[in-house]
Amino acid sequence: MRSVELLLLLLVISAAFPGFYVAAPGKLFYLLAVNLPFFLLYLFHLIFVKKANQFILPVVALLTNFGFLNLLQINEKYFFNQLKNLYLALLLCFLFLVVFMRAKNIFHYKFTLGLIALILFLLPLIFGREIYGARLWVSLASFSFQPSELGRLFFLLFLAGYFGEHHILLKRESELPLDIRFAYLVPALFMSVFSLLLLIFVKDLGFSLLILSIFLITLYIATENNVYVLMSTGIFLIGAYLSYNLFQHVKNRIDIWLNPWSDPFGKSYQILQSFFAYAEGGITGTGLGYGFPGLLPAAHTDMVLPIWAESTGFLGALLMLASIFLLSLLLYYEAGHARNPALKIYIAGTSFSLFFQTFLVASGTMGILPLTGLTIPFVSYGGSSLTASLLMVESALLFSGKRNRWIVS
Amino acid sequence: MDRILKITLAFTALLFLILAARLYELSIAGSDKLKQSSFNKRNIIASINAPRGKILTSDGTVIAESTGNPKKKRYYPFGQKMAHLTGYYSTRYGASGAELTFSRVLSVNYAELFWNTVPPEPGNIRLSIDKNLQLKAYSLLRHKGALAAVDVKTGKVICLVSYPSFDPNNIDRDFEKIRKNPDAPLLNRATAGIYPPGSTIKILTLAAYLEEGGNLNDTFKAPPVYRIGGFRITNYDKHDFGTITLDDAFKYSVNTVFAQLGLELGAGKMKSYMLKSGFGKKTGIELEEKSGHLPENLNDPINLAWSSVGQADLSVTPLQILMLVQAVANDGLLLHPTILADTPPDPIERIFTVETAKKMREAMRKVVTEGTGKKANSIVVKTAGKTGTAEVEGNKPHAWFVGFAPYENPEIAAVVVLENAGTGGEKAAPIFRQLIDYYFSR
Repeated sequence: MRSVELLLLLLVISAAFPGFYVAAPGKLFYLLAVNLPFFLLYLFHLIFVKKANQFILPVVALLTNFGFLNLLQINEKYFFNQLKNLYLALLLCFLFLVVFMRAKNIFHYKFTLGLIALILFLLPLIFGREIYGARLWVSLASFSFQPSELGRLFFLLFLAGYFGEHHILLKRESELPLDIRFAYLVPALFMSVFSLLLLIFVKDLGFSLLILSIFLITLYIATENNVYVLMSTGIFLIGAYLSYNLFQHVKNRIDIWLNPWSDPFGKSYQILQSFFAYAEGGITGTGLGYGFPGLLPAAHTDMVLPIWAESTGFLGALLMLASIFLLSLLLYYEAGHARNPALKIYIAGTSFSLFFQTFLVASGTMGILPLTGLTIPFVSYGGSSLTASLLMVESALLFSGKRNRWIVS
Repeated sequence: MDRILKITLAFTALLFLILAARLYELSIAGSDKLKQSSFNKRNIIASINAPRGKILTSDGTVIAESTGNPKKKRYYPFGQKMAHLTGYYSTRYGASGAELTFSRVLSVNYAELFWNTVPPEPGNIRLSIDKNLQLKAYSLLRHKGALAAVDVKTGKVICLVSYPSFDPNNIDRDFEKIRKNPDAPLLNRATAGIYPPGSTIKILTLAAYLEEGGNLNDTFKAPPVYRIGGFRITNYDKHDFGTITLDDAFKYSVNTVFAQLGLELGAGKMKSYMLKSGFGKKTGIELEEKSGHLPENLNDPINLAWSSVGQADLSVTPLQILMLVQAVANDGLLLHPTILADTPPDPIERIFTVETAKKMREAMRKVVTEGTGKKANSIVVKTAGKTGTAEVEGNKPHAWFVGFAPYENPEIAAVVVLENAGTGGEKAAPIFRQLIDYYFSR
């Protein structure tokens, strides 16, 4: 019956109610419109994955409610666009899940999935238009989307499939000589380097970092060998140093990060505004709708966390981060119970990727790392990100559990 | 869950803790500083089109107000003359001065607006500034530096000028030009200008020596050059005073005697009196402020000796020196300075005994009647004070004068600093005298 899931979803709604009451008084249907998709997903779970984890969907619902409340205080227009995005994401998610289920073992098609990932990374280069100095968006009719968001999902599917098949050969205990072990690494390495180069080429720094981290974490989980990870981290640091010297926009970002007070009305304007928003929030925040989101450029995408922190304070922002951490924990737990290595790598990779992208954005807005234009899953504005995040979590649910019918291995 | 997943999970948990720690730092631990930043537009944005409160002097004269309808503009009737008190207020460039410190009083409180149906009125701020004295002070200070005065019984600032100044009325138009001006007109030199105190520090050295049981008629050898290790401390113009009493040494500002005083007191005592007098930390005045630096490594005798005569790496703000003299004039009781008219006096602690303070006033009186500070001697009222000439490498020295009046029953204390102007007795003392003359002859 999955009654825990249902109960928790109802709890999320009742917790979100006061928020919506303050942010949009008298418009109760906002709350219902935001939460309906999760009851549809609940029904889907009820039919297809009865035994799957019941805590994951409520956490996703909670985060989504946070995100919509945040958009409501930034601009009602974004709220409605994102509502459209939510239903579109739901539709796409169902579509993909059906494909995954029909495939019986999706990881069987790993190279096809890898190719799709590459094509998605390549699209912006061919059809893209530049927004905020980076070429990330592709327009189709009146829709525009960010293919790299979905690309990373396929990239992860590819890596999980590939490492799931060859992980024994790559392990430290493997009897194979080093050069042959390395040869087995080549396809994955090639894919990753190529993806990285593409993303760097379109100036999508945040995403290249994310892709790199996905590669590293899957490699680490598959091989249980930290030498690979240390080596790759070394290569990354060299790469970072080179890009600092080669690319002006990388240098700018890093210089701003190192000296946020150097150009308060120019280059470092955005990061300082973010600091001020955090400071204004204090412990409990100014209250929803009483912050100054208008002061933050890219408020609804890169800067959602400081805006949330301004209105809900340290406690609210901590709750949001803790929810994402909890989501990650639940997925790690599922990875620990996965039936085969590919599934374990995929679910753990999903978990890490979702939290690590949050870490990159959040630390960017807090000045821990340079600012990167990534999204916080389920919270930031944007349909591509929402679709990818939802699909990642739902597919992890689909693949989890000891007795599921959707992976025949 | 296997080992490798546990490691990955632990790494994720570490990332989460890093975020939580930094979040705590930004939202709670370090939030006051960020909220008060002059680049933080929240301090001004709340009232872009809402009326903003007035800033007044002690007699109720308006020195900052909102004009224009419906779009409000900030108007400063006295412009440059009160710029470092009012500060500026701009929707583009943030705020400074009282506009910044009291921003949340001056603007309409939007949190309150949420609960009340009647829009709340913005608050006004009345400063302790004496309008006419402030205008006089502005006209007297025509050289890069600072001039400020406090009421010695209450700690209230009655005038405060920093030169060069800027016109806050045109801040939106001229901000970049003003900010890039090498003379730094935005800097409030009275509270945030950092200078070596020169001989004005001898007030502290002498008071410490008296506190520790010394006497004004103790005698010292006062050679033109005093050697410690391989280093030398010299008198101004290498003057040889032979053997003199302490009050003569103070009167003529004899470096070689004060170096010996400092060495006799020792590093611990000197440092503790500096700390007690408020050096090395902010006074807490409601304006942009710097803390200055206490000398490092006072255990090195040469550093200790140089610090006792006000050179070496000791640096202070003019306000800190002014408050030291406020304590001397107020029987040793050091107060918190304030620019607000309506706050009660806020004592910090008695840093000298009543007797020491009395002896210090006598010594400072003699500086004006017989010593280096004769140009501060007034016919209107009995003044007392101390000159200072802070050597600057490769340039003319900074000229200091700090003092109080009337001698018998002190009311106000004032400080003058002129950057690279010459000696304190020649350049700074006359400005002090003119300000005091004006104050007592009105």
